[in-house]
Amino acid sequence: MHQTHRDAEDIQDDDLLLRRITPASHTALQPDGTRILTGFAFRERNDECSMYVAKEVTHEKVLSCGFPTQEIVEVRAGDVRKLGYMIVREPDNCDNSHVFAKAKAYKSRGQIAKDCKALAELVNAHNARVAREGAQ
Amino acid sequence: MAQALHLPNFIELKRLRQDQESNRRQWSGVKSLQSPAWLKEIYDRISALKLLEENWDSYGGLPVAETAIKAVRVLLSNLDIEDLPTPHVAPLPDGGIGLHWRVGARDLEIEVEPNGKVHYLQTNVGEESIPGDVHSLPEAQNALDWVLGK
Repeated sequence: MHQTHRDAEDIQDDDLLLRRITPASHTALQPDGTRILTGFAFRERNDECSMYVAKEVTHEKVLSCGFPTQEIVEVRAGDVRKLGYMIVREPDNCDNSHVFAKAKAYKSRGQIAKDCKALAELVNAHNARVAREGAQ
Repeated sequence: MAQALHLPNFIELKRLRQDQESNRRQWSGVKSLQSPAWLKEIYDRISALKLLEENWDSYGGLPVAETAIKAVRVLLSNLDIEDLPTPHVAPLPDGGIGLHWRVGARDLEIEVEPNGKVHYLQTNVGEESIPGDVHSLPEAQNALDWVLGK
């Protein structure tokens, strides 16, 4: 049966979404000792990226639903939408704040890889900015 | 006593040239023995991916497919990778394998599907990524050469 998905209007573009990552698999060590996030961090088996709404849940709660080695990365809801995705609410066993990113129109494997990379690069740029500010 | 130099006669020279030509033909398709130091470590990491169980990523990720492991081995053992830095190896949630390199501002993600199909994503950091499909070893080589700016 065809299921209709709806973008959650109560989630603002500036709201942060939390995504569990597995650092050993999703981050790559650079020659300068820093770690960068790869696009693989946002890939999912069904091409619908699971996240949690940060203002409604704690990092600890989200981590408690994963594995001990996992960490959290944050992306802005507006950045996910700009790439052509709806943010669909779907409470799961972990928390009611669970959402997933659903493409508004069909996207090929290459397009999805490109979108995941764009999100990873936003996280990398943010982390680099925070590291620079911390060093000053 | 000085040892006499053996100077081949013309017939021997001709045979020598034929042997050299034959050797060139025999070995020209064989990859250099100068494999990068990281190759063994990467093969071990790829083999270790077999141990991952379903839901390894806490989002329902599938175990890595044997076909993907074989495809990555074929890829790495048939390409000129001597100048590349160690890649980052990642399992993919559909049972495939990802390889990642970043050299300066050039970033390359290679994705091997569980059925062995290969794709790449080239990104100049700060710019839009360019996805592509790999249908042959020369295409894969081009993608790798790009990350080194060749």
